[in-house]
Amino acid sequence: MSIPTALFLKRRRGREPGASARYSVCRAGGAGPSVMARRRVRRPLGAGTSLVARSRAGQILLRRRPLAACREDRMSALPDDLLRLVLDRLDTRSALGTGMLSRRWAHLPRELAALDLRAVDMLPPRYHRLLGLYMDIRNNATVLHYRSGTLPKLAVDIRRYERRAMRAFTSAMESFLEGRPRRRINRLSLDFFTIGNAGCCMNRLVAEAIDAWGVEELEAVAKPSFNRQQGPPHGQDGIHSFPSHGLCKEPRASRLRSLKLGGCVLPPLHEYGALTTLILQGIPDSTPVAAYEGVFTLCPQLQTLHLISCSCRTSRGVSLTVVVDSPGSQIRELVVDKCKYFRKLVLKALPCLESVDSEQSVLRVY
Amino acid sequence: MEVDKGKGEAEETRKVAEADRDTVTLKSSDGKLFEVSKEAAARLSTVLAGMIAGGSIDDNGTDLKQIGSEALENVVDYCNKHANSIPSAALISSSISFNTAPFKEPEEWERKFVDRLSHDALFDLVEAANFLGMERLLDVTCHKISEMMKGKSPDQIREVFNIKNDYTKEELEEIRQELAWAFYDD
Repeated sequence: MSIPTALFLKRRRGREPGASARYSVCRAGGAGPSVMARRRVRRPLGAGTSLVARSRAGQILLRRRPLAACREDRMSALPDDLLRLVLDRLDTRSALGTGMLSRRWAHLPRELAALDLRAVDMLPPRYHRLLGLYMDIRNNATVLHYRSGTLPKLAVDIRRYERRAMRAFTSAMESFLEGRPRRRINRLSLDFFTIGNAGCCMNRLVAEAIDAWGVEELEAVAKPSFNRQQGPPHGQDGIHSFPSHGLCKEPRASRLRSLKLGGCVLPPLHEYGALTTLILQGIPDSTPVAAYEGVFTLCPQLQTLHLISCSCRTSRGVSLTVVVDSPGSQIRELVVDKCKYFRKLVLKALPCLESVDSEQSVLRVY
Repeated sequence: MEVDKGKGEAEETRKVAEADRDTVTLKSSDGKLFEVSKEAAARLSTVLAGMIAGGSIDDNGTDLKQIGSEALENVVDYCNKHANSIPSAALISSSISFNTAPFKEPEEWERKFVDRLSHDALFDLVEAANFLGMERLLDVTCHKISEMMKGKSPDQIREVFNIKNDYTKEELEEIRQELAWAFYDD
Protein backbone atom coordinates (compact mmCIF):
# COMPACT_ATOMS: atom_id res chain seq x y z
CA MET A 1 0.00 0.00 0.00
CA SER A 2 1.35 3.35 -0.94
CA ILE A 3 -0.01 5.58 1.74
CA PRO A 4 1.20 3.87 4.87
CA THR A 5 4.70 3.54 3.40
CA ALA A 6 4.64 7.17 2.44
CA LEU A 7 3.64 8.31 5.86
CA PHE A 8 6.25 6.14 7.45
CA LEU A 9 9.02 7.48 5.28
CA LYS A 10 7.88 11.00 5.85
CA ARG A 11 8.03 10.63 9.56
CA ARG A 12 11.49 9.17 9.44
CA ARG A 13 12.85 11.99 7.34
CA GLY A 14 10.54 14.61 8.67
CA ARG A 15 13.23 16.77 10.21
CA GLU A 16 15.30 17.15 7.07
CA PRO A 17 13.56 19.92 5.18
CA GLY A 18 15.22 19.20 1.84
CA ALA A 19 14.58 15.51 1.80
CA SER A 20 10.96 15.94 2.67
CA ALA A 21 10.34 18.39 -0.14
CA ARG A 22 12.19 16.27 -2.69
CA TYR A 23 10.40 13.25 -1.55
CA SER A 24 7.04 14.85 -2.05
CA VAL A 25 7.96 15.83 -5.57
CA CYS A 26 8.81 12.31 -6.40
CA ARG A 27 5.68 11.02 -4.83
CA ALA A 28 3.58 13.49 -6.74
CA GLY A 29 3.58 11.09 -9.66
CA GLY A 30 2.72 7.94 -7.83
CA ALA A 31 0.81 8.74 -4.67
CA GLY A 32 -2.91 9.06 -4.40
CA PRO A 33 -4.23 12.58 -4.81
CA SER A 34 -5.35 12.80 -1.23
CA VAL A 35 -1.79 12.62 0.00
CA MET A 36 -0.71 15.14 -2.55
CA ALA A 37 -3.47 17.52 -1.69
CA ARG A 38 -2.67 17.46 1.95
CA ARG A 39 0.97 18.14 1.37
CA ARG A 40 0.24 20.96 -1.01
CA VAL A 41 -1.77 22.74 1.64
CA ARG A 42 1.07 22.55 4.07
CA ARG A 43 3.81 23.69 1.76
CA PRO A 44 3.36 24.68 -1.87
CA LEU A 45 6.24 23.34 -3.94
CA GLY A 46 8.64 25.67 -5.63
CA ALA A 47 9.51 25.13 -9.26
CA GLY A 48 13.17 24.51 -8.44
CA THR A 49 12.52 21.56 -6.22
CA SER A 50 11.59 19.30 -9.08
CA LEU A 51 15.13 19.54 -10.46
CA VAL A 52 16.50 17.61 -7.55
CA ALA A 53 13.91 14.89 -7.79
CA ARG A 54 16.54 12.18 -8.11
CA SER A 55 17.34 12.29 -4.46
CA ARG A 56 18.28 9.47 -2.20
CA ALA A 57 14.70 9.05 -1.10
CA GLY A 58 13.54 9.05 -4.67
CA GLN A 59 16.02 6.36 -5.64
CA ILE A 60 15.03 4.19 -2.78
CA LEU A 61 11.45 4.46 -3.92
CA LEU A 62 12.42 3.77 -7.49
CA ARG A 63 14.29 0.69 -6.52
CA ARG A 64 11.62 -0.60 -4.24
CA ARG A 65 8.68 -0.18 -6.49
CA PRO A 66 9.82 0.25 -10.05
CA LEU A 67 6.25 0.33 -11.34
CA ALA A 68 5.12 3.15 -9.13
CA ALA A 69 8.03 5.45 -9.87
CA CYS A 70 7.40 8.92 -11.20
CA ARG A 71 6.27 8.60 -14.76
CA GLU A 72 3.41 9.51 -16.95
CA ASP A 73 0.18 7.62 -17.29
CA ARG A 74 0.84 5.67 -20.46
CA MET A 75 -2.27 3.59 -20.06
CA SER A 76 -4.86 6.37 -20.12
CA ALA A 77 -3.06 7.84 -23.12
CA LEU A 78 -3.94 4.80 -25.23
CA PRO A 79 -6.86 5.23 -27.61
CA ASP A 80 -10.24 3.81 -26.63
CA ASP A 81 -10.12 0.85 -28.95
CA LEU A 82 -6.88 -0.36 -27.44
CA LEU A 83 -8.24 0.05 -23.93
CA ARG A 84 -11.25 -1.97 -25.04
CA LEU A 85 -8.91 -4.72 -26.20
CA VAL A 86 -7.45 -4.76 -22.71
CA LEU A 87 -10.85 -4.74 -21.00
CA ASP A 88 -12.11 -7.56 -23.21
CA ARG A 89 -9.45 -9.76 -21.68
CA LEU A 90 -10.51 -9.05 -18.13
CA ASP A 91 -13.29 -10.81 -16.28
CA THR A 92 -16.48 -8.78 -16.19
CA ARG A 93 -16.12 -7.66 -12.61
CA SER A 94 -12.62 -6.31 -13.04
CA ALA A 95 -13.56 -4.72 -16.34
CA LEU A 96 -16.55 -2.95 -14.83
CA GLY A 97 -14.37 -1.89 -11.92
CA THR A 98 -12.10 0.13 -14.19
CA GLY A 99 -14.87 2.72 -14.44
CA MET A 100 -13.71 3.83 -11.02
CA LEU A 101 -10.17 4.65 -12.12
CA SER A 102 -10.69 8.13 -13.52
CA ARG A 103 -12.96 10.15 -15.78
CA ARG A 104 -11.01 8.92 -18.75
CA TRP A 105 -12.28 5.44 -17.97
CA ALA A 106 -15.85 6.20 -16.97
CA HIS A 107 -17.51 5.42 -20.28
CA LEU A 108 -15.49 2.32 -21.12
CA PRO A 109 -17.26 -0.24 -18.91
CA ARG A 110 -20.58 0.76 -20.45
CA GLU A 111 -19.19 -0.20 -23.83
CA LEU A 112 -18.15 -3.71 -22.86
CA ALA A 113 -19.32 -6.06 -25.58
CA ALA A 114 -19.61 -9.10 -23.35
CA LEU A 115 -20.84 -9.45 -19.81
CA ASP A 116 -20.63 -12.42 -17.49
CA LEU A 117 -22.94 -11.82 -14.57
CA ARG A 118 -22.64 -14.68 -12.17
CA ALA A 119 -24.22 -14.96 -8.76
CA VAL A 120 -21.60 -17.56 -7.89
CA ASP A 121 -19.01 -14.79 -7.84
CA MET A 122 -20.79 -13.41 -4.81
CA LEU A 123 -20.13 -16.54 -2.78
CA PRO A 124 -17.20 -16.47 -0.38
CA PRO A 125 -14.55 -19.21 -0.47
CA ARG A 126 -15.97 -20.51 2.78
CA TYR A 127 -19.16 -21.48 0.97
CA HIS A 128 -17.25 -23.78 -1.33
CA ARG A 129 -15.37 -25.28 1.59
CA LEU A 130 -18.61 -26.02 3.41
CA LEU A 131 -20.16 -27.51 0.29
CA GLY A 132 -17.12 -29.74 -0.18
CA LEU A 133 -17.26 -30.84 3.41
CA TYR A 134 -20.96 -31.60 3.16
CA MET A 135 -20.50 -33.78 0.11
CA ASP A 136 -17.52 -35.47 1.66
CA ILE A 137 -19.38 -36.42 4.82
CA ARG A 138 -22.48 -37.46 2.95
CA ASN A 139 -20.69 -39.62 0.45
CA ASN A 140 -18.23 -41.36 2.73
CA ALA A 141 -19.73 -40.88 6.11
CA THR A 142 -17.13 -42.31 8.44
CA VAL A 143 -17.67 -42.63 12.13
CA LEU A 144 -15.02 -40.01 12.77
CA HIS A 145 -16.67 -37.40 10.63
CA TYR A 146 -20.22 -38.19 11.20
CA ARG A 147 -21.96 -36.79 14.18
CA SER A 148 -25.67 -36.54 14.15
CA GLY A 149 -26.70 -33.00 13.34
CA THR A 150 -23.54 -32.10 11.46
CA LEU A 151 -25.10 -32.37 8.06
CA PRO A 152 -28.25 -30.35 8.76
CA LYS A 153 -26.13 -27.68 10.41
CA LEU A 154 -23.86 -27.48 7.41
CA ALA A 155 -26.88 -27.32 5.13
CA VAL A 156 -28.26 -24.36 7.07
CA ASP A 157 -24.99 -22.47 6.66
CA ILE A 158 -24.75 -23.30 2.99
CA ARG A 159 -28.27 -22.10 2.35
CA ARG A 160 -27.63 -18.93 4.28
CA TYR A 161 -24.61 -18.12 2.12
CA GLU A 162 -26.63 -18.70 -1.01
CA ARG A 163 -29.46 -16.47 0.14
CA ARG A 164 -27.03 -13.72 1.08
CA ALA A 165 -25.16 -13.97 -2.18
CA MET A 166 -28.38 -13.87 -4.16
CA ARG A 167 -29.63 -10.83 -2.21
CA ALA A 168 -26.41 -9.00 -2.93
CA PHE A 169 -26.49 -10.09 -6.56
CA THR A 170 -30.10 -8.98 -7.01
CA SER A 171 -29.49 -5.57 -5.53
CA ALA A 172 -26.34 -5.17 -7.59
CA MET A 173 -28.29 -6.04 -10.73
CA GLU A 174 -31.05 -3.61 -9.75
CA SER A 175 -28.55 -0.79 -9.59
CA PHE A 176 -26.96 -2.04 -12.78
CA LEU A 177 -30.33 -1.61 -14.50
CA GLU A 178 -31.27 1.58 -12.73
CA GLY A 179 -31.78 4.55 -14.99
CA ARG A 180 -31.60 2.10 -17.92
CA PRO A 181 -28.16 3.16 -19.08
CA ARG A 182 -27.56 2.76 -22.80
CA ARG A 183 -25.47 -0.25 -23.54
CA ARG A 184 -24.55 -2.24 -26.58
CA ILE A 185 -23.80 -5.79 -25.68
CA ASN A 186 -23.11 -8.76 -27.90
CA ARG A 187 -22.93 -11.49 -25.36
CA LEU A 188 -24.54 -11.79 -21.98
CA SER A 189 -24.07 -14.72 -19.73
CA LEU A 190 -26.15 -14.77 -16.60
CA ASP A 191 -26.34 -17.38 -13.93
CA PHE A 192 -28.20 -17.25 -10.69
CA PHE A 193 -29.87 -19.23 -7.96
CA THR A 194 -33.62 -19.55 -7.86
CA ILE A 195 -34.12 -18.21 -4.38
CA GLY A 196 -36.91 -16.00 -3.17
CA ASN A 197 -38.06 -13.40 -5.64
CA ALA A 198 -34.71 -12.97 -7.37
CA GLY A 199 -36.34 -14.29 -10.54
CA CYS A 200 -38.18 -11.02 -11.18
CA CYS A 201 -34.97 -9.06 -11.35
CA MET A 202 -33.35 -11.67 -13.59
CA ASN A 203 -36.33 -11.54 -15.95
CA ARG A 204 -36.01 -7.78 -16.17
CA LEU A 205 -32.32 -8.12 -16.89
CA VAL A 206 -32.91 -10.65 -19.66
CA ALA A 207 -35.69 -8.54 -21.20
CA GLU A 208 -33.56 -5.40 -21.08
CA ALA A 209 -30.64 -7.26 -22.61
CA ILE A 210 -32.69 -8.47 -25.58
CA ASP A 211 -34.90 -5.42 -26.09
CA ALA A 212 -32.55 -2.57 -25.30
CA TRP A 213 -28.97 -3.80 -25.41
CA GLY A 214 -29.35 -5.82 -28.60
CA VAL A 215 -27.76 -8.98 -27.23
CA GLU A 216 -26.90 -11.56 -29.86
CA GLU A 217 -25.72 -14.36 -27.63
CA LEU A 218 -27.55 -14.95 -24.42
CA GLU A 219 -27.01 -17.52 -21.75
CA ALA A 220 -29.38 -17.61 -18.79
CA VAL A 221 -28.86 -20.46 -16.39
CA ALA A 222 -30.89 -20.82 -13.23
CA LYS A 223 -29.53 -23.09 -10.58
CA PRO A 224 -31.65 -24.62 -7.88
CA SER A 225 -30.61 -23.60 -4.41
CA PHE A 226 -28.85 -26.10 -2.20
CA ASN A 227 -31.85 -27.66 -0.47
CA ARG A 228 -33.56 -28.16 -3.83
CA GLN A 229 -30.54 -29.94 -5.16
CA GLN A 230 -30.66 -32.30 -2.24
CA GLY A 231 -34.37 -32.95 -2.42
CA PRO A 232 -36.19 -35.13 -4.94
CA PRO A 233 -35.65 -33.84 -8.46
CA HIS A 234 -39.32 -33.73 -9.26
CA GLY A 235 -41.73 -30.81 -9.40
CA GLN A 236 -41.62 -27.12 -10.13
CA ASP A 237 -39.59 -26.02 -7.10
CA GLY A 238 -36.24 -24.48 -7.83
CA ILE A 239 -37.16 -24.06 -11.49
CA HIS A 240 -37.05 -20.57 -12.87
CA SER A 241 -39.88 -19.31 -15.00
CA PHE A 242 -39.90 -16.40 -17.39
CA PRO A 243 -42.97 -14.19 -17.75
CA SER A 244 -45.81 -15.78 -19.66
CA HIS A 245 -45.28 -13.48 -22.66
CA GLY A 246 -41.75 -14.75 -23.05
CA LEU A 247 -38.20 -13.58 -22.54
CA CYS A 248 -38.69 -10.02 -23.72
CA LYS A 249 -41.24 -7.56 -25.03
CA GLU A 250 -40.31 -7.42 -28.68
CA PRO A 251 -38.98 -10.78 -29.76
CA ARG A 252 -39.47 -10.02 -33.46
CA ALA A 253 -37.10 -7.08 -33.28
CA SER A 254 -34.44 -8.99 -31.37
CA ARG A 255 -30.97 -9.75 -32.67
CA LEU A 256 -30.71 -12.94 -30.68
CA ARG A 257 -28.69 -15.50 -32.63
CA SER A 258 -27.69 -17.90 -29.95
CA LEU A 259 -29.52 -18.80 -26.79
CA LYS A 260 -28.81 -21.08 -23.91
CA LEU A 261 -31.41 -21.61 -21.24
CA GLY A 262 -30.89 -23.69 -18.17
CA GLY A 263 -33.04 -24.74 -15.24
CA CYS A 264 -36.13 -22.93 -16.40
CA VAL A 265 -39.55 -23.51 -17.86
CA LEU A 266 -39.35 -23.37 -21.63
CA PRO A 267 -40.56 -19.93 -22.76
CA PRO A 268 -42.11 -19.37 -26.20
CA LEU A 269 -39.26 -19.00 -28.70
CA HIS A 270 -40.93 -19.09 -32.11
CA GLU A 271 -40.81 -15.33 -32.63
CA TYR A 272 -37.02 -15.01 -32.45
CA GLY A 273 -36.44 -14.94 -36.16
CA ALA A 274 -32.66 -14.56 -35.99
CA LEU A 275 -32.15 -17.44 -33.57
CA THR A 276 -30.04 -20.18 -35.09
CA THR A 277 -28.47 -21.86 -32.08
CA LEU A 278 -30.42 -23.10 -29.12
CA ILE A 279 -29.11 -24.98 -26.12
CA LEU A 280 -31.56 -26.20 -23.54
CA GLN A 281 -30.22 -27.61 -20.33
CA GLY A 282 -32.06 -28.94 -17.32
CA ILE A 283 -35.52 -28.23 -18.67
CA PRO A 284 -37.88 -29.74 -16.11
CA ASP A 285 -40.09 -32.81 -16.19
CA SER A 286 -43.25 -30.82 -16.33
CA THR A 287 -42.48 -29.45 -19.79
CA PRO A 288 -45.20 -30.74 -22.11
CA VAL A 289 -44.29 -32.84 -25.12
CA ALA A 290 -45.78 -30.16 -27.35
CA ALA A 291 -43.27 -27.58 -26.07
CA TYR A 292 -40.33 -29.70 -27.23
CA GLU A 293 -42.00 -30.52 -30.51
CA GLY A 294 -42.73 -26.83 -30.94
CA VAL A 295 -39.03 -26.02 -30.78
CA PHE A 296 -38.53 -28.16 -33.89
CA THR A 297 -41.60 -27.10 -35.80
CA LEU A 298 -42.10 -23.48 -34.80
CA CYS A 299 -38.49 -22.30 -35.03
CA PRO A 300 -37.70 -23.31 -38.61
CA GLN A 301 -34.58 -21.13 -38.74
CA LEU A 302 -32.79 -23.11 -36.02
CA GLN A 303 -29.61 -24.77 -37.23
CA THR A 304 -28.16 -26.12 -34.04
CA LEU A 305 -30.09 -27.62 -31.18
CA HIS A 306 -28.70 -29.17 -28.04
CA LEU A 307 -30.89 -30.83 -25.46
CA ILE A 308 -28.92 -31.55 -22.31
CA SER A 309 -30.46 -33.13 -19.21
CA CYS A 310 -33.91 -32.23 -20.43
CA SER A 311 -36.81 -34.32 -19.35
CA CYS A 312 -40.40 -34.89 -20.14
CA ARG A 313 -42.47 -36.91 -17.71
CA THR A 314 -45.97 -37.03 -16.36
CA SER A 315 -46.57 -36.11 -12.75
CA ARG A 316 -46.44 -39.82 -11.95
CA GLY A 317 -42.97 -40.07 -13.37
CA VAL A 318 -43.84 -41.79 -16.64
CA SER A 319 -41.40 -40.75 -19.39
CA LEU A 320 -42.98 -39.53 -22.59
CA THR A 321 -42.11 -39.79 -26.26
CA VAL A 322 -41.31 -36.72 -28.30
CA VAL A 323 -41.97 -37.01 -32.00
CA VAL A 324 -40.16 -34.66 -34.34
CA ASP A 325 -41.84 -34.16 -37.67
CA SER A 326 -40.67 -30.92 -39.16
CA PRO A 327 -40.09 -30.95 -42.92
CA GLY A 328 -39.39 -27.21 -42.92
CA SER A 329 -36.71 -27.34 -40.25
CA GLN A 330 -33.15 -26.29 -41.02
CA ILE A 331 -31.59 -28.07 -38.09
CA ARG A 332 -28.18 -29.41 -39.05
CA GLU A 333 -26.76 -30.34 -35.73
CA LEU A 334 -28.68 -32.10 -33.01
CA VAL A 335 -27.23 -33.16 -29.69
CA VAL A 336 -29.25 -35.08 -27.14
CA ASP A 337 -27.30 -35.67 -23.99
CA LYS A 338 -28.25 -37.07 -20.58
CA CYS A 339 -31.93 -36.81 -21.37
CA LYS A 340 -32.80 -40.01 -19.55
CA TYR A 341 -36.37 -38.97 -18.92
CA PHE A 342 -37.29 -38.85 -22.55
CA ARG A 343 -38.83 -42.17 -23.28
CA LYS A 344 -37.94 -41.72 -26.89
CA LEU A 345 -37.09 -38.93 -29.24
CA VAL A 346 -38.44 -39.98 -32.59
CA LEU A 347 -37.06 -38.15 -35.61
CA LYS A 348 -39.44 -38.43 -38.53
CA ALA A 349 -38.50 -35.48 -40.67
CA LEU A 350 -35.51 -33.21 -40.24
CA PRO A 351 -34.32 -32.70 -43.81
CA CYS A 352 -31.15 -30.69 -43.19
CA LEU A 353 -29.77 -32.82 -40.40
CA GLU A 354 -26.04 -33.41 -40.79
CA SER A 355 -24.91 -34.60 -37.41
CA VAL A 356 -26.62 -36.27 -34.51
CA ASP A 357 -24.96 -36.93 -31.22
CA SER A 358 -26.97 -38.85 -28.72
CA GLU A 359 -27.36 -41.87 -26.55
CA GLN A 360 -28.69 -44.54 -28.86
CA SER A 361 -31.42 -45.70 -26.56
CA VAL A 362 -33.26 -42.42 -26.60
CA LEU A 363 -33.19 -41.57 -30.24
CA ARG A 364 -35.08 -43.25 -33.04
CA VAL A 365 -34.61 -42.10 -36.57
CA TYR A 366 -37.17 -42.93 -39.20
CA MET B 1 6.43 -10.94 -57.71
CA GLU B 2 5.48 -7.47 -58.74
CA VAL B 3 7.38 -6.06 -55.82
CA ASP B 4 10.63 -6.99 -57.47
CA LYS B 5 9.93 -4.77 -60.46
CA GLY B 6 9.72 -1.66 -58.33
CA LYS B 7 12.78 -2.67 -56.46
CA GLY B 8 14.89 -2.96 -59.56
CA GLU B 9 15.50 0.76 -59.81
CA ALA B 10 16.22 1.17 -56.15
CA GLU B 11 18.83 -1.53 -56.34
CA GLU B 12 20.97 0.52 -58.64
CA THR B 13 21.29 3.34 -56.17
CA ARG B 14 22.26 1.14 -53.33
CA LYS B 15 24.77 -1.60 -52.95
CA VAL B 16 22.79 -4.70 -52.52
CA ALA B 17 23.40 -7.01 -49.65
CA GLU B 18 22.73 -10.63 -50.40
CA ALA B 19 19.83 -10.83 -48.04
CA ASP B 20 18.21 -7.75 -49.48
CA ARG B 21 15.77 -9.65 -51.57
CA ASP B 22 13.85 -11.14 -48.73
CA THR B 23 14.22 -8.51 -46.05
CA VAL B 24 12.91 -5.01 -45.59
CA THR B 25 14.76 -2.22 -43.82
CA LEU B 26 12.85 -0.17 -41.32
CA LYS B 27 14.00 3.15 -39.93
CA SER B 28 12.98 4.28 -36.47
CA SER B 29 12.09 7.86 -35.50
CA ASP B 30 15.67 8.39 -34.31
CA GLY B 31 17.20 7.12 -37.53
CA LYS B 32 18.29 3.60 -36.57
CA LEU B 33 17.93 0.89 -39.17
CA PHE B 34 16.50 -2.55 -38.61
CA GLU B 35 16.13 -5.46 -40.98
CA VAL B 36 13.27 -7.86 -40.88
CA SER B 37 12.30 -10.70 -43.15
CA LYS B 38 9.82 -9.59 -45.74
CA GLU B 39 7.73 -12.67 -45.33
CA ALA B 40 7.32 -12.23 -41.55
CA ALA B 41 6.67 -8.50 -41.86
CA ALA B 42 3.96 -9.04 -44.44
CA ARG B 43 2.37 -11.83 -42.48
CA LEU B 44 2.34 -10.10 -39.11
CA SER B 45 1.69 -6.49 -40.00
CA THR B 46 -1.13 -5.37 -42.23
CA VAL B 47 0.50 -1.96 -42.68
CA LEU B 48 3.86 -3.39 -43.77
CA ALA B 49 2.08 -5.90 -45.98
CA GLY B 50 0.31 -3.00 -47.67
CA MET B 51 3.57 -1.11 -48.09
CA ILE B 52 5.35 -4.12 -49.54
CA ALA B 53 2.51 -4.84 -51.93
CA GLY B 54 2.27 -1.18 -52.88
CA GLY B 55 6.00 -0.95 -53.49
CA SER B 56 6.46 1.89 -51.04
CA ILE B 57 9.27 0.13 -49.22
CA ASP B 58 12.44 2.18 -49.28
CA ASP B 59 15.65 0.17 -49.45
CA ASN B 60 17.50 2.85 -47.55
CA GLY B 61 15.14 2.29 -44.67
CA THR B 62 11.40 2.82 -44.65
CA ASP B 63 10.70 5.70 -42.34
CA LEU B 64 8.51 4.86 -39.40
CA LYS B 65 8.48 8.23 -37.72
CA GLN B 66 6.03 7.23 -35.03
CA ILE B 67 8.16 4.43 -33.65
CA GLY B 68 11.24 4.85 -31.49
CA SER B 69 14.27 2.62 -31.95
CA GLU B 70 13.67 0.64 -28.79
CA ALA B 71 10.09 -0.21 -29.76
CA LEU B 72 11.09 -0.99 -33.32
CA GLU B 73 13.82 -3.26 -32.10
CA ASN B 74 11.20 -5.15 -30.11
CA VAL B 75 8.89 -5.31 -33.10
CA VAL B 76 11.66 -6.72 -35.28
CA ASP B 77 12.67 -9.09 -32.54
CA TYR B 78 9.09 -10.29 -32.29
CA CYS B 79 8.84 -10.79 -36.05
CA ASN B 80 12.04 -12.84 -36.09
CA LYS B 81 10.99 -14.97 -33.16
CA HIS B 82 7.58 -15.46 -34.67
CA ALA B 83 9.14 -16.64 -37.91
CA ASN B 84 11.09 -19.24 -35.96
CA SER B 85 8.22 -20.55 -33.92
CA ILE B 86 5.80 -23.00 -35.41
CA PRO B 87 2.70 -21.16 -36.50
CA SER B 88 -0.35 -22.84 -35.03
CA ALA B 89 -3.61 -22.84 -36.88
CA ALA B 90 -5.74 -22.85 -33.76
CA LEU B 91 -7.01 -19.37 -34.51
CA ILE B 92 -10.20 -20.82 -35.89
CA SER B 93 -12.55 -21.11 -32.98
CA SER B 94 -14.54 -24.25 -32.43
CA SER B 95 -17.92 -24.53 -34.08
CA ILE B 96 -20.26 -23.60 -31.30
CA SER B 97 -19.33 -22.45 -27.92
CA PHE B 98 -20.54 -19.53 -25.94
CA ASN B 99 -17.04 -18.48 -25.13
CA THR B 100 -16.26 -17.72 -28.72
CA ALA B 101 -13.05 -16.02 -27.75
CA PRO B 102 -11.45 -14.85 -30.96
CA PHE B 103 -8.28 -14.39 -28.97
CA LYS B 104 -5.84 -17.23 -28.62
CA GLU B 105 -3.78 -17.35 -25.45
CA PRO B 106 -0.21 -16.18 -25.91
CA GLU B 107 2.27 -18.94 -26.37
CA GLU B 108 5.08 -19.52 -23.93
CA TRP B 109 7.71 -17.59 -25.89
CA GLU B 110 5.32 -14.69 -26.45
CA ARG B 111 4.66 -14.54 -22.75
CA LYS B 112 8.38 -14.43 -22.03
CA PHE B 113 8.84 -11.87 -24.75
CA VAL B 114 6.48 -9.35 -23.15
CA ASP B 115 7.39 -10.26 -19.58
CA ARG B 116 10.94 -9.00 -19.95
CA LEU B 117 9.80 -5.59 -21.19
CA SER B 118 9.88 -2.56 -18.95
CA HIS B 119 6.68 -0.68 -18.30
CA ASP B 120 7.40 2.03 -20.84
CA ALA B 121 8.75 -0.42 -23.40
CA LEU B 122 5.52 -2.38 -23.14
CA PHE B 123 3.40 0.65 -23.90
CA ASP B 124 5.75 1.74 -26.68
CA LEU B 125 5.31 -1.70 -28.16
CA VAL B 126 1.51 -1.53 -27.88
CA GLU B 127 1.53 1.74 -29.74
CA ALA B 128 3.95 0.45 -32.36
CA ALA B 129 1.87 -2.70 -32.87
CA ASN B 130 -1.22 -0.57 -33.24
CA PHE B 131 0.48 1.71 -35.73
CA LEU B 132 1.78 -1.18 -37.80
CA GLY B 133 -1.49 -3.09 -37.64
CA MET B 134 0.08 -6.12 -35.98
CA GLU B 135 -2.95 -7.87 -34.64
CA ARG B 136 -1.24 -10.74 -32.95
CA LEU B 137 1.33 -8.55 -31.22
CA LEU B 138 -1.49 -6.28 -30.05
CA ASP B 139 -3.26 -9.31 -28.63
CA VAL B 140 -0.18 -10.41 -26.78
CA THR B 141 0.67 -7.00 -25.35
CA CYS B 142 -2.92 -6.20 -24.39
CA HIS B 143 -3.09 -9.56 -22.71
CA LYS B 144 -0.03 -8.64 -20.70
CA ILE B 145 -1.57 -5.33 -19.64
CA SER B 146 -4.79 -7.04 -18.64
CA GLU B 147 -2.76 -9.48 -16.55
CA MET B 148 -1.19 -6.56 -14.78
CA MET B 149 -4.70 -5.38 -13.86
CA LYS B 150 -6.22 -8.69 -12.86
CA GLY B 151 -7.24 -9.15 -9.26
CA LYS B 152 -6.31 -5.60 -8.32
CA SER B 153 -8.49 -2.98 -6.68
CA PRO B 154 -8.95 0.35 -8.48
CA ASP B 155 -6.47 1.89 -6.06
CA GLN B 156 -3.85 -0.71 -6.86
CA ILE B 157 -4.40 -0.34 -10.58
CA ARG B 158 -4.04 3.42 -10.30
CA GLU B 159 -0.77 2.90 -8.53
CA VAL B 160 0.65 0.44 -11.03
CA PHE B 161 -0.24 2.54 -14.06
CA ASN B 162 0.04 5.88 -12.38
CA ILE B 163 -3.52 6.88 -13.20
CA LYS B 164 -4.73 10.03 -11.48
CA ASN B 165 -8.11 9.86 -9.89
CA ASP B 166 -9.87 13.02 -11.02
CA TYR B 167 -13.32 12.14 -9.71
CA THR B 168 -14.99 14.11 -6.99
CA LYS B 169 -16.13 12.15 -3.99
CA GLU B 170 -19.76 12.38 -5.08
CA GLU B 171 -19.04 11.16 -8.59
CA LEU B 172 -17.05 8.27 -7.23
CA GLU B 173 -19.90 7.27 -4.96
CA GLU B 174 -22.36 7.42 -7.85
CA ILE B 175 -20.21 5.13 -9.97
CA ARG B 176 -19.67 2.78 -7.11
CA GLN B 177 -23.46 2.52 -6.83
CA GLU B 178 -23.89 1.71 -10.48
CA LEU B 179 -21.16 -0.88 -10.44
CA ALA B 180 -21.97 -2.23 -7.02
CA TRP B 181 -21.54 -5.76 -8.25
CA ALA B 182 -17.93 -5.24 -9.18
CA PHE B 183 -17.06 -4.06 -5.71
CA TYR B 184 -18.92 -6.51 -3.63
CA ASP B 185 -16.58 -7.98 -1.04
CA ASP B 186 -17.62 -10.99 0.86
